Amino acid sequence: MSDTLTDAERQLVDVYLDGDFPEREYASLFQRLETEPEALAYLAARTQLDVDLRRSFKRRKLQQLAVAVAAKSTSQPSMKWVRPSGSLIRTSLLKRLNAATFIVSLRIAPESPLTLTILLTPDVGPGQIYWLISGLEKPSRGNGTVFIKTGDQPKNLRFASNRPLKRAELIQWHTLAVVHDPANKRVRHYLDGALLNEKPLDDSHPLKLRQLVIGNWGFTTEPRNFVGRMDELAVFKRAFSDEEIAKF
Amino acid sequence: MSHEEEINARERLARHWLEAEPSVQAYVFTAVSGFQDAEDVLQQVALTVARRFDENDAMRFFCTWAAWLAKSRIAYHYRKKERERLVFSEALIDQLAEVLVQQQRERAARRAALEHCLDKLPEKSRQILAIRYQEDAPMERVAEAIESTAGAVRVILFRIRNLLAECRNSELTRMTS
Repeated sequence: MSDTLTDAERQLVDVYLDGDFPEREYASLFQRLETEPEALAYLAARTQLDVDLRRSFKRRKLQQLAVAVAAKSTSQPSMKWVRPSGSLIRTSLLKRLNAATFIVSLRIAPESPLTLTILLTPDVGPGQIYWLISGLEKPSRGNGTVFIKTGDQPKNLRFASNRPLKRAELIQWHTLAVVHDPANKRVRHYLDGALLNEKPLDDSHPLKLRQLVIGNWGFTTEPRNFVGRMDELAVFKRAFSDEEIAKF
Repeated sequence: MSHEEEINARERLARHWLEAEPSVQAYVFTAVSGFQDAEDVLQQVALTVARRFDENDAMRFFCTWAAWLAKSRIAYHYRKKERERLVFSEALIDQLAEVLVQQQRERAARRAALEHCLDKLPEKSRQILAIRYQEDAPMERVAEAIESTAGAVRVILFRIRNLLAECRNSELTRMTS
C-alpha cells in the first residue's frame, strides 16, 4: 500500500475505478500519480484487484448458471417458465435516442413476483430507462400498472399507465408498447394496440440505450426478474403514432 | 498462408491473448473510467489484436504489443468522446502499461490467493461484492439491495477491498516463503 497517498486519496482511486468522475477532486490526485511511482503502483495494484474480483465473480456466476441449467431438466421441470437465476440477457443499441418506441409481446408465469422487469439500462441517472410491470395484486394497492422511468427523479420522470393490470389477465399473451415522444411532450402506454393513457413529458433527457438488460433486475432481496415468456421485443428510434402501434 | 499454418497461428494468438488479456484489461480499466466504456474499449482492443496479429510474428513481446495497441484504442476512445474524460497524460499511460505488464508474471498466484481470501470474507461482504461485480450493478443499485446509501456502499466496498488486498498480500508472502 502506498504511504504517499492519504486514506481519502486511496478511496478516491476506488471511486475513479468504480466509474465516477468528480473532475475537480481528481486533479491533485492525478498529479501525484504522475510524479510518485509508489502512488502509480497503488493505482495499478488496485486496478488489478478490481479486475481479478470481476473475473472471479464472473466465474462464480457461470458456475451457478451451469448448475441451474443442469438441474432444469430433472428436478425442476417448471423451470421452463423461469430463467435461471443470475443469467443476463443484454443487448447493445444506439447510444442516444431522443424519441423511441418500445414494444414487446409477453405473458407472465402464474407464480411471478409483484414487480417484473421488462427492460432496463444497467446504470442510474437521466436518460436511463426502467420498463417494468409493478404492483401486481399487491393487497394495499389493488392491481398492477406498467410503467417506464427515464431517469433518477421519480416524480417527473416516472410514467405509469392508469389502467390496472391483473395477474390473471397477463398470464395470456399480450403486447405492451410505450412511446417516448419528446416532440409532442408525451409518454404513451399501449396494451394490445390500444392506448392505455398518456402522460406529459416536461423534462426530457435523451435516452441512453447503449446497454440494455432484458428481464433481469438482478438482486435477491426483492425479486423483480421477469418470470414468464417474451417475444418480439423491439426498440424503434422514433415515436410511433397511435395508428402505427395499432397496426404493429 | 496454408490452412494448417493459419490454424497454428490462430492457436498461438489464442494462447498469447489468454495470457495477456488480464493485464490489458487492467490497463484499459484504469485508463477508461466506467465499466461499460472500458468493456467496449477492451473489445475493440481484442478485435484489433486479432486483426493485426500477423504483424507480431515472433509473439515474444505479445503483452507489450497488445498494451501498445490498447493505448491507441484508449486515445481513440477519448477523441471520440471529445476528450470529456481524458485525465491521464501520455507519460502516465505509458508508465501504467509498464507496471501492469510487469504484474502479469504473478497473475496465477495472485488469483489463487484472492480466491482463498474471498472464501474467508463474511457472507454479507461477499454478497455486496457479488451484486457489484457479478451483476455489474452501479452503486445506487447496490445501495438499494442492501437498504443503504450509495455513499455508505462506497465506504463499505473500500474497506472490503482493503481487507482483500491485505489478505492477498500476506497469502502471497506465505506462498513464496
